[in-house]
Amino acid sequence: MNERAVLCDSSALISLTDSCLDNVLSFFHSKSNLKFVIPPSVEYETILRPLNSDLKQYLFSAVKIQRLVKDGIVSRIDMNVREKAARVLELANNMLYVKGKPMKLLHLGEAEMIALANELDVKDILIDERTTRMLIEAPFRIKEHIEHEFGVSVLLNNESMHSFSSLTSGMRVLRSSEMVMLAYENGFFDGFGADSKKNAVKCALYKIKFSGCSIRFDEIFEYLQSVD
Amino acid sequence: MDFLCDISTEIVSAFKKRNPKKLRKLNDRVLRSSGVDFTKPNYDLAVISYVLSKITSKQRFLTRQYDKQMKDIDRVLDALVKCSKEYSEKSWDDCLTSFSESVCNLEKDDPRFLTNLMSKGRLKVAATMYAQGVSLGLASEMAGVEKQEIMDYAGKTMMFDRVKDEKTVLERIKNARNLISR
Repeated sequence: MNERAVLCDSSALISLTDSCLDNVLSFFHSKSNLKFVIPPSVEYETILRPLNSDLKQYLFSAVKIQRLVKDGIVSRIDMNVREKAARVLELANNMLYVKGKPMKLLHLGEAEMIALANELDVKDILIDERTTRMLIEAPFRIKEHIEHEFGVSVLLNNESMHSFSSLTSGMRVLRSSEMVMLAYENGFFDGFGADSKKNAVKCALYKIKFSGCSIRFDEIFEYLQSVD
Repeated sequence: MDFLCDISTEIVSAFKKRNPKKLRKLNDRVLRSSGVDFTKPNYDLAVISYVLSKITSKQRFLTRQYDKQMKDIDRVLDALVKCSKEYSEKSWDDCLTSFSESVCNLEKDDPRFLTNLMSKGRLKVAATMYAQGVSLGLASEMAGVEKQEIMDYAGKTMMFDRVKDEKTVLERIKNARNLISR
């Protein structure tokens, strides 16, 4: 697969459209020739279901994503990854044990994303959802978080963790917040003027956080401190 | 099914005493249990206890005007406790449907929001499950709530600020820069 391809999860498309920042994808598509790809399940969740079920609250987001697909900025990739996805799901859902029982963490749709990235050898995945991202980046952190949340000791199945990690090895997870930051650095906010563009990216980052992107306030602050 | 029976009895008793504080505590207990060991009855009880805590915290529902609807809910809850003792999926689901109908009846004369109490309850439980550690997709499927809705709710909470990441934001943006410089 094209090394400029970015596999998008529904969570990132949802927060970008909800924040009216979906133009960031068009911006990178034309400026850097980035190719954004989605599996059929993401198309179904973000476009087809809201439109077919008349989910009024999400219709506008759905038509915006539909337009990105029509304009060729986002492309649908059909590939049968059922077997690999089942393996990913099995590993993820047998990684942590609470009171002797495996804790279900992932859904088949998220497992399909990982399987598809692995199958296509796509290294960059755009995900705003927190659990999948943390499982790819640092399963230990999820273990600590669950222990803290439930006040119980959680057992980590090392075999499952290593097998899962080898499937996700080399994958780089991006959040839509990083796309917004990158867009700022590449002139997306220049129209606000030299004096106001930093303020505009700050506001955009807050908006994307409030739309459900898993970024912390201190990360926004740290990024803004680091740029002009 | 001991947990189901015990907690159902406690929830119904707290509702009959119109005790929102106790109901909120019971809701926390069920949420902890359903997060670690998800079963449909546990999830249903999490929604029920949340909805009941909201009902009892609204003064207008405690006035004589709503006597009939509140008694209907009491009756449905009695049936639910009975069902929790001799659990069968069918009868439990029937009780759930009756509960949902009786709560809708309570709200129908004077609706204040576009989403009803049952939908709010389902959303709250789904968002809590996501906050506790299960993925967005799984929380959405378990609760039957749209991902968009959960993200919207989660984005207005501190759930992401409560977990420290392995990578710093500066490391992340460095990776992102590589994406366009390749």
